[in-house]
Amino acid sequence: MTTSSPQAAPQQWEIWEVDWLHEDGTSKPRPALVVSSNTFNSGHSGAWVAKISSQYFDTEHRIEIAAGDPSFKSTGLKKSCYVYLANVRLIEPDLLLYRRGRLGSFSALVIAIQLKKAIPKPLS
Amino acid sequence: MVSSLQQTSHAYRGSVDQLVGEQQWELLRRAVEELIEVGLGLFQSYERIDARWRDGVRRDDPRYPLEQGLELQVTLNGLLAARSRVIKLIERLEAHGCPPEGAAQYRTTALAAFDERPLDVPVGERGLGALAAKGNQIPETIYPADDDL
Repeated sequence: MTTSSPQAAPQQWEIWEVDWLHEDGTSKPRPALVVSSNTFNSGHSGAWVAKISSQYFDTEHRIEIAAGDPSFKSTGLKKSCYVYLANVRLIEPDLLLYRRGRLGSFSALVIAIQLKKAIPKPLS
Repeated sequence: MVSSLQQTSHAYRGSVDQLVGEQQWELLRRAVEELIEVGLGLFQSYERIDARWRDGVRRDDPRYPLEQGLELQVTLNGLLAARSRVIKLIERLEAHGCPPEGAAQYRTTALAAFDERPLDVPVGERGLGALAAKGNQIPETIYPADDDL
């Protein structure tokens, strides 16, 4: 497991263990993907993250991180899972527990393309 | 008389074989030198285009769409595979005692794999907020919290 000081600003496409708050007020540590840009992340306001789950749900903007990918080892994850871009949230700095790893640049690119598509277009 | 002719003709054939063999190595050396020259030019071009694209993406310049990265990744993988094959040819030539020119420079011109190149994509906070608002319509309960990841 890769760990680092929680004080270190998260970088885009890193996978962090975060304290994920649930609707019922409870929370549990789980991995999440940092999707906000490094400029935003360095502003000490926290980071925007997308939920990662090993469970498959038939929802929009779901991307698999397969254990067979050449760069999977660098992610710090233990098994194949999914990033759910429809489930993004701003996480406060104290809920970012530790850095687990990072996506390879190619996976990051595929997710960035999906993310741009997922973001609703502003009304003109 | 016949025996002497046999010996001479055998030696002659040997000389021809040797010459043809050496010519083949020489031809291979020249071909590899050409591959080295062309390859170094291609690597340089790739690095320039890749750096320009990453910089354009970082600045959110519409002339550098993210999708271009998919083509760059395929191109880079092709170049990396070709480079590794050329290096094997260089090793064969060196083992035979005819090292090609430019081999040292070719070896030291390493191309980083696509996955190792940083990618900084600006994603607006407003856009993420809109996505979150849309995503929040999905009940949290469909995502169990007990994943063993």
